[in-house]
Amino acid sequence: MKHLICNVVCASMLAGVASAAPLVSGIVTMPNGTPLADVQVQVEIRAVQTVPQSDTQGHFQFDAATLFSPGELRDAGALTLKFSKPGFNSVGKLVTIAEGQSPSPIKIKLEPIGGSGAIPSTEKEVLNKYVAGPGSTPLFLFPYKLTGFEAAELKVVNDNLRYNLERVIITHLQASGVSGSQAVSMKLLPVEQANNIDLSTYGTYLNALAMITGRGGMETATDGSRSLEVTSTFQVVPQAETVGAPRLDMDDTVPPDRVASPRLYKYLSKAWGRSTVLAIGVSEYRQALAAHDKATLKRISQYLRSERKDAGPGDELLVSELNILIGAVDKELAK
Amino acid sequence: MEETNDPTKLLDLPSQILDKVVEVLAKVGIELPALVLQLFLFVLVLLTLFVAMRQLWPDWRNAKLLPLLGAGGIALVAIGILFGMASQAALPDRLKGRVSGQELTDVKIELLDFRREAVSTGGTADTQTGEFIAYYSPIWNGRARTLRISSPSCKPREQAIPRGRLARGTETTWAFPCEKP
Repeated sequence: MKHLICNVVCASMLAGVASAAPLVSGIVTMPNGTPLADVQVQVEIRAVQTVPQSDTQGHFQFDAATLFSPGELRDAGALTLKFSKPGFNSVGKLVTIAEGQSPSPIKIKLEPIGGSGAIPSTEKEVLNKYVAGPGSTPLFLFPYKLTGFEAAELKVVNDNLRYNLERVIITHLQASGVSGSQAVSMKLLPVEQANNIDLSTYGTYLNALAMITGRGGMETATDGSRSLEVTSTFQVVPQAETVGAPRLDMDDTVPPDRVASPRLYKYLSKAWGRSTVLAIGVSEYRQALAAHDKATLKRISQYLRSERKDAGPGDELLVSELNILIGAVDKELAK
Repeated sequence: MEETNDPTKLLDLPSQILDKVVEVLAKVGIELPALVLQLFLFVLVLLTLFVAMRQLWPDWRNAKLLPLLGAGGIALVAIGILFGMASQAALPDRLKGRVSGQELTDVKIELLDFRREAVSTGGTADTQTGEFIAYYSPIWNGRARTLRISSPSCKPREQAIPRGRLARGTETTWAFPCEKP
């Protein structure tokens, strides 16, 4: 009899706990299904409460009873969830909560700002093959717009550019000892960047570390010598608090006989490697902020300072961006 | 969405008179929540009524018609203020509804009081369905007069809220045609 009474009391106590603890969970992805990490989740009734961000698989979960009193939950009958992440449009979701039941897992899709909708659907089909999975943040190269070449040559020149840029960047990363936590590689995209869509929109869709593109052409000097003058844009894709997503412009001059050479990398600026270190710095800084990871912040500070020390003439813009990031990291370390 | 079609418009009369008084007070720098103003006015009217009654008391049967009508009028104003407070206290503390429009990204709904100041919390619209719940305190702030819909990519839109749409269990759809700023 005692057991029976205990069972009844325990069961009703458990039921009480269950009714007061609706567990809300779900997954946040991009429109193409790629899981999105570090998405801020806010829960709103009368007041707004912030819960842990989505993990690397895009999963989030919270217990509403730890945020609001049972009376508030019962009275409201619904929660409004707000999902936000820099570079994406926020999404609101009204979730009905019934007493004693956890709602079904929620599926949320976040659209990049500027709208991945702005990317033509035919291009999306091509880009979907290149979308980086969790833990991988590659660099992408849009074909350069070059003049002074035959149409058939352009593909070869862009391929050669990709190979050599990758070589310059990876060699620099190995030499600088920046952590291999980010598997850096470079891919040439088989689409041309539309004029009215910015690099960030593509980069966010592709989950990239950085996007590179440029334009240039064969120039003839007064002495009759020819060279390929190229102006490139390096757009960092991850955005972080106070530092945003830096964008750098770089110039390279290449002798015409080296354009198709596998040794083209010798003529490419060292700033390519430094810019990639900056991009890794922004990406890691954002993750370290979310995880309150001071050890990583210290490491970021060290490798950024090393890059700044080695920077030379022509790197002023890059140094200025490094300074902003170093300042932000130091501020966090001082807290 | 015109208020003239609302059959409960007559109930708004005491509130509309109060609004006018509040406007005048605001012009001289007195801006207080609706409840405080209503209580202030109520006390003021009671005092006036007390003074008027003292003039008439105890021989009110032989009093002249004008002072008698005056006292009666003041009493009616006091009843009107009480009625206004009671009717707003009976309103639900939230407005549930739905926003309909092509652009529902980051849409926020705010309830504005008689001074066109936002008094609500919550109000984030569901990006897919447009459903929202905005909370406020009708007792403290008075009834919500205007609904403002805003989003980063569209011009904000304000619409008057007829009393009937604030009633319990009412869920109205509010149009939000996106005009680019």
